[in-house]
Amino acid sequence: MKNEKQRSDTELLLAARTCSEPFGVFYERHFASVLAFFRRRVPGPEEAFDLAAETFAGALASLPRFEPGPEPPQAWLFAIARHKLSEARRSSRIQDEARRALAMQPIQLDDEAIEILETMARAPAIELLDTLAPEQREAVNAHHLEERGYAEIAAELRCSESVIRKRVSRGLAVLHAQFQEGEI
Amino acid sequence: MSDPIRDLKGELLAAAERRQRHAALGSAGVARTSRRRWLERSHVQGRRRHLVALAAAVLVVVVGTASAFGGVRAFFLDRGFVGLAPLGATPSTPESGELEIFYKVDPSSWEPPGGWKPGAGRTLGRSLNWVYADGRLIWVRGDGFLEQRLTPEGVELMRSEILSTGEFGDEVPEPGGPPCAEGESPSDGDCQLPTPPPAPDKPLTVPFYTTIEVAGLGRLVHVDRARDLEHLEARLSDPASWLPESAWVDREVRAYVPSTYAVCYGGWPPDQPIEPSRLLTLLPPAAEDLLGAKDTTRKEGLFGSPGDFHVVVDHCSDVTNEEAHMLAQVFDDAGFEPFMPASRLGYRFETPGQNEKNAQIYFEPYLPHGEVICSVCG
Repeated sequence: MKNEKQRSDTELLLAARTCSEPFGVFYERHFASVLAFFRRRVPGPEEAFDLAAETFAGALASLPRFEPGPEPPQAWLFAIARHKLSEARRSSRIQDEARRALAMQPIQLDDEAIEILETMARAPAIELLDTLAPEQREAVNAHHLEERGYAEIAAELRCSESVIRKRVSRGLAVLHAQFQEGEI
Repeated sequence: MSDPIRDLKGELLAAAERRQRHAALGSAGVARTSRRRWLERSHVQGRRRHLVALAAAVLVVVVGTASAFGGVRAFFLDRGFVGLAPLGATPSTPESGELEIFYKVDPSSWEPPGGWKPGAGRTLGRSLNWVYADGRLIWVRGDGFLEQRLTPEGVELMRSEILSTGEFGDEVPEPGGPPCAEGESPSDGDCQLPTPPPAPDKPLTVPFYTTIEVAGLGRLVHVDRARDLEHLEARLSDPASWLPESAWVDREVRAYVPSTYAVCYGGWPPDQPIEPSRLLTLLPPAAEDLLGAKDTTRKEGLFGSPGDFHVVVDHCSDVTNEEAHMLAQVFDDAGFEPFMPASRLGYRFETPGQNEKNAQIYFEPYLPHGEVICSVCG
């Protein structure tokens, strides 16, 4: 039997329907990127943490409906994340429906906890991503972190695939140059 | 030691175990029900289903009450927001404004000989900017529409910066007024600040992907060539780096909250247009009713690359922030797929006979001079 940590995301999510531990591995694998996703979009670490918590609670509640498909599970997770962000922006408050439905207890954040969150949200690669021009960052993030195709991103942005490819390529070139320069 | 990541994992795993226990109990219940089905009449089964539903509803209420969260956090508009302005947010005032300067610049597009230098201009990126006679400086990059407030002197300094380095072909903008006397500022009268001496380097033709326009001759005049264009773009991209304190009414960056949104819908790809009346029928009834009762304007854009452009046609109606929120709620409830390229809220929905979700409906804010732009276009 495979070690949990060797399982693919799809295997973890399918196994999580009957056993809790695989969801923990999935959580550990993706929490940092989800937190960083929100941290770049909301004012503070508390809001980012709440949204990340709500995203994983939403994912847990949606496990019975998760269907493996051509898109990686990370795309499914980020679709939930984007939806949570959209809800929160529109209502100007972070919803807690998923956590309430799961009877989860709120987690208090003290200064130490906030420091941990800020450190995690500023992981080196994520921090570097933040240094890119917004459209390059958006393109690299959509293609490499959210694993969406060029065509899909281009359709959303109503520009050609070649423009998206160029943005991704330039963004990666800048990131590569920064690694070479030892800026992290 | 306080570790929110570990604590949250613990809560999630505990919740997962509770769900699995409930599911196991539910399965056992289903098995028992199946056995009884041999004996029970259909109307009894119906009654049982109602009882189970009632029990589940009670359970949800109990769970919800027991775990009510006290610390739901609110958002503050200290940066641009993604999608729609929160309900109740105060719109930018005045509602309309006279446009003095528009510029679309991208310092990160400069690729110097020898390639990219890490750090050079990388945090700026493409931006669209509008400067109004009332002092508002509104711009959009990737994180929403933002606003700062300039004094009349600040507006004039921005204008002078462009005029001092730009060339306008045969069109020359009318002067802003007589030179200001020593100690006099444009806010004191109709005078113009002294124009800085032109940079000595050779003027460059402004490339097609950069646009700089200033008010003159009764309209916005396009800058055709500019000396030290890179420097000009860098300054326009970051006015706070060079404008003096007296140029600002309020340096604080706030979200730009529009008074009105345009809600636009159209098909995709551009060579397969869909009639707007047909698109409306594919929306949830509440959205169809609201939008069907409004006037629409046709919004055209170009998609593609030089030599291979297609016209993209969308149809737009004006909605208030409250109406926009209502529509978004209707789309969410209907299961439309939201997408958020950059700061724009949009939804994709299916058109019958197509395999993909190839129609879109999205929200764009009105700017004070009455324009609706494509905030996510390249």
